[in-house]
Amino acid sequence: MKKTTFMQHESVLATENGVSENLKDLTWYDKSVPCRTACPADTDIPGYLEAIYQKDFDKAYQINLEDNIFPEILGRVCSRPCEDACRHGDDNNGNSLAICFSKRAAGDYKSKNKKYKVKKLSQSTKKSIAIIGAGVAGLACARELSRFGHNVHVFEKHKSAGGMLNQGIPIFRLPRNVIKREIDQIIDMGVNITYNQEISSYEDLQKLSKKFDAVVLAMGTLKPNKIDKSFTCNEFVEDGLDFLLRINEFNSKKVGQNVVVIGGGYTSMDCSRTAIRLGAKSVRTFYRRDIGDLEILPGELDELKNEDGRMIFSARPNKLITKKNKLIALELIKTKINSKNKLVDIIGSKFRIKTDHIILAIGQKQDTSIISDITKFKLKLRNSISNNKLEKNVFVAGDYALGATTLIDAIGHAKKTAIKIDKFLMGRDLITNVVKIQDVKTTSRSLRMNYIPLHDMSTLNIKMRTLTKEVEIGFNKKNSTSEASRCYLCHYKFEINNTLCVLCDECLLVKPVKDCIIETEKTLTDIDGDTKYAKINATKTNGIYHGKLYIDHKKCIRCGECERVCPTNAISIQKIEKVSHA
Amino acid sequence: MLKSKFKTVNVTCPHDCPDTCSLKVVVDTSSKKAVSLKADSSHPITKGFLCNKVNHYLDLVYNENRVLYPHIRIGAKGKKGKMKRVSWDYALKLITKNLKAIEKKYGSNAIQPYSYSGTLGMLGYWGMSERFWNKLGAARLSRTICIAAASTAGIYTYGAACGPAIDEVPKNDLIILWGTNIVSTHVHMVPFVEEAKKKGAKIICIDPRETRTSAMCDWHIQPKPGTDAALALSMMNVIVNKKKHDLKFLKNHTTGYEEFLNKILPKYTPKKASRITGIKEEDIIKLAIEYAATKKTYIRPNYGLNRHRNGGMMVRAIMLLPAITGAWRNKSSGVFVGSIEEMWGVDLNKLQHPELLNGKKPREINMIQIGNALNDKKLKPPIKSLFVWNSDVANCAPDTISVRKGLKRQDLFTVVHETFWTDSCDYADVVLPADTALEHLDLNAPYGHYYFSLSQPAIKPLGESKSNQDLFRLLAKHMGYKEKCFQETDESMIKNMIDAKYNPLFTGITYEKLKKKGWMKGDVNNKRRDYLKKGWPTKDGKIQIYSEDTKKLGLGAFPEHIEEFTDTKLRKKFPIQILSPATHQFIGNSFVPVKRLRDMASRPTIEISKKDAEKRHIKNGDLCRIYNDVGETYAHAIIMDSMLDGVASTQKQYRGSLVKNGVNANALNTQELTDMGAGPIFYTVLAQIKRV
Repeated sequence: MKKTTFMQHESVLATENGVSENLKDLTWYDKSVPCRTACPADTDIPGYLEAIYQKDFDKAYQINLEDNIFPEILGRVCSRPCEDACRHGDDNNGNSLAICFSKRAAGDYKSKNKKYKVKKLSQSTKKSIAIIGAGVAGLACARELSRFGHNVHVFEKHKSAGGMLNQGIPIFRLPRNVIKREIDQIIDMGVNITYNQEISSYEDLQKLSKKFDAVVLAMGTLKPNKIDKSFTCNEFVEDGLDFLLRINEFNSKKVGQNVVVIGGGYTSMDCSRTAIRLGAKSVRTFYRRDIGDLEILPGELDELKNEDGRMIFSARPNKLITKKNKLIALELIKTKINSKNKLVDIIGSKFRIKTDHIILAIGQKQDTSIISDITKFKLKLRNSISNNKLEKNVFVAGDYALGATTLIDAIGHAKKTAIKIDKFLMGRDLITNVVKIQDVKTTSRSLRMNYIPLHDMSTLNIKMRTLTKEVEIGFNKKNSTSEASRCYLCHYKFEINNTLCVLCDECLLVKPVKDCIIETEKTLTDIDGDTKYAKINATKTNGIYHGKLYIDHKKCIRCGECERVCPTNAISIQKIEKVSHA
Repeated sequence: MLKSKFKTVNVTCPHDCPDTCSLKVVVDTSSKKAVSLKADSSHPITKGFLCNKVNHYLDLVYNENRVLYPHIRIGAKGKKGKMKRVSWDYALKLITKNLKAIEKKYGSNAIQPYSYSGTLGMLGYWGMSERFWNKLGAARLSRTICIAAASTAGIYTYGAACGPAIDEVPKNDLIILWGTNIVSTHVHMVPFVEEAKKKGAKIICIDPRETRTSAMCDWHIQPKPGTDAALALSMMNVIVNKKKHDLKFLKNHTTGYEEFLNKILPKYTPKKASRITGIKEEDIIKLAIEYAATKKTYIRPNYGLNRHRNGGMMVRAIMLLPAITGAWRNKSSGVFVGSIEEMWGVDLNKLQHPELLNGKKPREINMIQIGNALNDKKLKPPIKSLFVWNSDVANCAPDTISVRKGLKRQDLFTVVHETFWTDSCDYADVVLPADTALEHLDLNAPYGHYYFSLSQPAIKPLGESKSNQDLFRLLAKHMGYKEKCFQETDESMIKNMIDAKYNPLFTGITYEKLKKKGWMKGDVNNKRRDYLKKGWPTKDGKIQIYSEDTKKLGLGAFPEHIEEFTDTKLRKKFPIQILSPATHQFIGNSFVPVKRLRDMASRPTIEISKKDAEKRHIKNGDLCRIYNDVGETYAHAIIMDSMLDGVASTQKQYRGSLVKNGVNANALNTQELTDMGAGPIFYTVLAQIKRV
């Protein structure tokens, strides 16, 4: 029988049902679930949001624990690349979901007395690995390697583990018991940590490399950037990280009267807000670029202002003004972006600010002293961003490879380093990603949920704020499930079977988003699973009759309305989960 | 914010479709506007969804293309936009003056009403209007343009009895959709078919074209157009040869079966039928065996079949299949060509008052031959006035060129009562504004199922538009007709139609109950309808395999395959048979004013086979001239692998003014009539196609 193909249904997935390793299916997931794809640690965000919606906080915490190792910590201080990617924040869709705060809710409301463990993925391999640095990267790498069955030994120069968590982030943002709880969970996996032991030379490194099957450099970025020689640290000029370390680790309370903080990143915010709490009369933060260039958490600038801190943009420090060897003021120059898109000084715009304490929070970089004897060490370090390895059996994890980034970037990189080490030592692919595809009748979503506004994080009253009291209070249980219900559930696939479609327009009349359902002549699927379509051009065709309806999974907000109104059940729903198989 | 109160009104879709959906219209009582229109989810056929057309109904009601006020023509006939607004009073005086003058000079036969299915409400279709024409003694119109051949074939064979409706489909194990594209023209049948399919039923589509309906079926059989009688008869040949027929049923319930089995069927061997239909012999045998081997079978032919010269015969042959296998024994099985013969069973004496004719016996003109009638110089009296409502005659009647030539006659006084500025309005002396279903009361009796519904007014008529009923009440008043029946209210007329004594389907139904619920199922289980026990409503209570009626027509007493085209010269000159089935976007040419639908069918198209296209150097999308000795039209080619060679398919009643030369496929059609029922032969058309 002669048949044209214009009504033949071709699914956007290669696999109808069940477990698939097909690239098309994996790519469908990556392209359809933007939050998870944006997460460097590949956190199953829709999975845990769905668990929160179902009030299963234990499950939500467990999902996070497996994927990003530090759920409670990240639930407070993660840089949230997922939220930028969240489809709820697309044009006309409202605000992104509060994914980070939801993660915190998972930690807040999980069972208190339960021990949270991750499953070992392999029996003991008898391989031993040394990790230098017990910051997030080192610890994340350690947790993963231990999970893969290796013996892990971490060397830490400070008296406690946590690295930047302890030394860089103020207590009022990240309570120390939270840090301890999640580091203890790693130690409980059998990870050994030797404290107060610095690996400070190439010889030390060589020794470790011989004694252990592999070594991981996870020392982070501890070398502050400098403006120029005139801004060398002294009793008036201090590096941001030193300042925070002094306050957070050594209980020092010393601060100037009129504090100036330089920089537009996470550290500058922390320094300013800490200085305020220490009793400085005025705290001004200067950033040479504009507000859009800030690299801070959402809401942080508002909190700084709430706490009476001032933020001044487009001004850079130029000169220290001293009188009788005492700092009395800072001279700054206003800046602008010129026609070539370069930051330049505005001539004649110098001004002075009275100050007796300048904190420089202008970033930091790797201290390369212990690898500087290695030939081409700079190039090798740069390459370790992608290949996670320096040379021989020496690997790199986190900021030591990446430069100063974020916690979640460091964790993501460390996870990859662990996998590479396992492959290096064992010659195996321990973890494979698959997607699980299953038919479902409905999602838990209703159209109403699209219109729930973003829940705000409640914060401590300004008057109550101290150096150690946590500012963010967290969602209550009700708000946390309500916030989770806002999730579009992008891991559900809605698809129209065009041989069942009667083109009644019912779905087109209820579609909530422009172009979530497309009238197309045909859809084309790339080899890597990306689907492209050309909209019907009615003036050149017989209209939709010879075409088909296609649900664009990158626009669909999974409200379920189309499926509910479809008279012929032409619209199917499948739940797609990405799972790491060991 | 202004406080708004909303009310929900039960309205029925009045358009020419078997589904006759119940609608819930939400009206903002402060602005008095309809703000939402949705399907009634409680209605067992409508099932809470609408088709792509009626889903945009409010765009039709509140459409910039609506005729809102009476107009008179000030420019030449046939040209756009030369109209002047006048008052109703002025328009009515002008009309009555002309009608009276014509009546006086030429007699009432010179006044020709012209109407079809612009609305299928019982009042709007044939209520007050018929009283008016009876009183005037105007010429009759044979309203045969749609279902005449099929309906007549059904009456000749089964009396006025109709089969089980589409909601019985899921109780069957084999369903044949015969010559129907239910996705586009009967969409509320689809869920029932899907339900049957889920239960394991086999779905077979018999249609020369590939459609979205054929795509959802298990098996698509493509006979050459006009050969379905041969296919059905050959199926019976196989069934009887394999002794799978139900002899007991034939003996008890049919008349003439012996001769049919012995003399007629043996002629239709699969081999011969294969030659006629183009279907493989083994497929015919397989189809016959599967049909006969399944106890619960349901055949749904639709009206595409009956638009062939031999349409009555084809439908009659198909309708006999369940009599051969005894499928009728199962209450949910058989064949269902439609329910109109029973559902429209109302007492026309009460509705139309034929006594108003007062002994006059007006002549009758077939609406299909209106072109000839308008141009017939020998016709006595000539048609001097054409009164059009419920129809866009300039596009819908066959042989458009002849129709439009007639409409252009300067001495013809034409009145068009229309909701939209159709092409016919261009030829009118007076255009009167008509309303939509949202604006009046009516009773709806579907032809595709057994649920009556009462359509209630949701909003006041827009502008100065008036329902058909009100128009003819007003006309009667202006003509000075004093009879009381011209003052009867719509409500009273409907109440008089709901008469269980006249039609058992009305048993248990009252106006009040209908008003409350919106819809009620006709009493399909009424004892008077138990045809198996009581006999069919034919003269001997039996299924007429032998038919005196067809014999009288000279067609022979038994169903046979009759070749559509006997003129081989013509076939050579015009080698392509042109089908013009209903489109997905419009119903007839209703709904053209809806932008969404017009956009989706923005140009006329013609589906042709690859071979035919290659032969003519036609590529996808090419504008083609389609022509024969009757006329020509233009359409863009859609080349389809599945199209049969020598067959092409274009849109039914595409609005002429949107086509390059101003006329649609009806320009190719002749005014000839079908074998039974005097219907149109829209699909018995040969033409040639050329790339422009």
